[in-house]
Amino acid sequence: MLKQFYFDKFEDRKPYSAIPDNKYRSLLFQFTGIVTIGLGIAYLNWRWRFSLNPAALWFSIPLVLAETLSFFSTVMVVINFWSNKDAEKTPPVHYLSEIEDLQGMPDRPIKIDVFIASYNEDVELVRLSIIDAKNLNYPFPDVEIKIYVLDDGRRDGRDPAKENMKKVAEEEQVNYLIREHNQGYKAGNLKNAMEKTNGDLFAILDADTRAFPDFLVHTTGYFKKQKVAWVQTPQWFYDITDAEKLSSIINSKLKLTNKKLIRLSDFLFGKIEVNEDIFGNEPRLFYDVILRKRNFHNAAFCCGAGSIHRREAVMSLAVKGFVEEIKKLEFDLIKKKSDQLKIHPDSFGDLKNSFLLHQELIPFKFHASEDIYTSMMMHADKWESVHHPDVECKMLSTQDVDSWIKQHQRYAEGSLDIAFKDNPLFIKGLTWRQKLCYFNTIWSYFAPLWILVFLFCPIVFFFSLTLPVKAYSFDFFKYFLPFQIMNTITITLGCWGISTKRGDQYYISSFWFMLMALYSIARGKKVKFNVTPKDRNFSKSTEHILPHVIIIGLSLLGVAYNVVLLMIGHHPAASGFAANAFWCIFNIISLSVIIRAAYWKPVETNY
Amino acid sequence: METKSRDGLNKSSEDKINTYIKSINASIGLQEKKEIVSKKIRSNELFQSGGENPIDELSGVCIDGIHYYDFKNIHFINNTGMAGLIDLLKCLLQKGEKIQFVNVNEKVKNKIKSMGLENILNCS
Repeated sequence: MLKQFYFDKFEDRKPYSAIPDNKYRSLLFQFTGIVTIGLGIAYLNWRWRFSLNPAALWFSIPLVLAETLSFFSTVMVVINFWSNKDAEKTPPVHYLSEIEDLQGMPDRPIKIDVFIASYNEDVELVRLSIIDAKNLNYPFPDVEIKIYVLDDGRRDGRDPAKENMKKVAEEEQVNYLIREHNQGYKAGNLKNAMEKTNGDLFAILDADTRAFPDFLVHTTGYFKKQKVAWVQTPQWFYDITDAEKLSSIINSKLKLTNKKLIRLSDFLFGKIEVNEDIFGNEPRLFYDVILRKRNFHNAAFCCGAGSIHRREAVMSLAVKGFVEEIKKLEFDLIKKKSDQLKIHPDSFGDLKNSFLLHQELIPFKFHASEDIYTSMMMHADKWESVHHPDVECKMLSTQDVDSWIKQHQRYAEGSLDIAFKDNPLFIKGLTWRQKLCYFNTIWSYFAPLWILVFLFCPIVFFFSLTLPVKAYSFDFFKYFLPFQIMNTITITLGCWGISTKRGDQYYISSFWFMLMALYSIARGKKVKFNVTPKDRNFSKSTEHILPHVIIIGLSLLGVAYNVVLLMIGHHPAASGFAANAFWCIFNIISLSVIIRAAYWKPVETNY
Repeated sequence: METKSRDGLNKSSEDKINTYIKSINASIGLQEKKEIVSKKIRSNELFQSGGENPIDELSGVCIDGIHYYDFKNIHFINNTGMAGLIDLLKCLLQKGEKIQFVNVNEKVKNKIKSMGLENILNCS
């Protein structure tokens, strides 16, 4: 009897189908993208040269600077979304010679390993992933498919306080691998697995990743192109919160029992639905648009779970990385030798051996964002990647604000850490398009810098009654509106068929957490690898939303103050108030989503 | 006491080496005489001090702390195999021993060179 989970009721959900490619839409996007960039340049030119309020440069300049930085994002989005180029789908691989040049050596059927990485997740949750992995189809019976549970939690029965992962693996008759430390986090766990296995291809699944039966059938064919190092499939979260009837929420919160009141509530609010994907977890925009369109630039990066890799490619990077590190250490040693006192030749040899001993072969970069970091290095090494557009596995999303923040801060800190330590713009081997795509990902984590300005501008206006522009004149709208309208059209075309509403709201409301991540990295704090919790935790959410509550409170207070001034006829800039009030409402709607998420609980808690 | 500690080290090194050998076999397993090579490497008695043990005339031999491996049957090596060799090298270094690959054909030498390992893996 399998354990019951909150997501059992979502088992029958079907994944989305990838948006069909359309070359005319791509062409239209390219046209509107270029027009948007042109209009943006014209707008910013006007803003910098003619619109600054000389009496309030302290206010004008931060705003126009924020707009300029934000515009860079638009340019990079246009480049990222430029075209769609899905890789050609081919039948699954049978023999090794189909994916590797054997140079005359005898052929054999390929070997595939399936790794299920686990740390502290409920073992019964992992069992579900194991069961699904065991059900993987493959058309060639002589192809060996081995499943491994990579337990980084050392749950092999030695600690009675922990669940026994090893027992579950044994019960399911799959392989079980552990190590005695957690060095390198997930990347270290994979390294350990790679040392003990020998599959030509290996799939990476997380503890909660449930592969569909044809996962391997649909993905191994891409490796027939010998430069393809990995194939990433979309991570589809099948437990995303449903829309809830507003009336149900009201009835539940007010604990209504009176049938008449319930009927009235249903009549008034029954048709209004809210809270759909309240945590903004829907990753479709990322997988079906952002990552998929990077196929065109050969810059689609690996996201870990739901990916399949060519061992040869990963080992190539590991060996090259090893050699580079040794060379670097030797170079430092030689420099030291010439700078300081003479080192005896024997000591030099000993030191070199010591380097060799202490340097490890690292297939995946030991980093909190090991996926993107390793991808970047593989691309720099001229390997290719494929983003497969169809969903081939299902996963669980974060179900509370604490977990959401933990997960997104790790993404942000990891990416920012790469920006400061190994900036893609300066990595040799990457094409300029790859550099831009990677930089685009990193750049998006700098967004809180300008979002903060956008959030505070209306507040500053409300209380200072100072405009950040000379005037909200015809000229302002003449430049601003065409740019904004074209920008909206371009984004709509680029994200065709996918709602961006929740994503846009979270882009703004995550400003505080992203700012904290930026601050943390700027201070040189080491990035921790936080394992995303796979269960629900409804406590402690309030502390995270304080900045949001303060900004909303100040905005409302500012609006009230300005309304009073208008009513008594003392407001110096009524048009400014209208523009800022509109802006402020937009901010409040965007910020409020995380507050709602923090207090969200399912209406029916029947698990 | 010393023996015990050495045995402890040997046991864990042995496990590791066996894993590496498996990995080498996997990667160079494409060549014809896979079984023989595998046997040869194992028969080299990696975990016992050189000199005290019979030297295997077919495979790598250990003379004065240097392990010589015969590559005459290895016609092809891939990146995974290369990683296996590095690990083998590290394991021997840990024991204070050295490694030398002999009869390495040009193709394998070129591969070693292309990976920048020519100064790390001694080939002749």
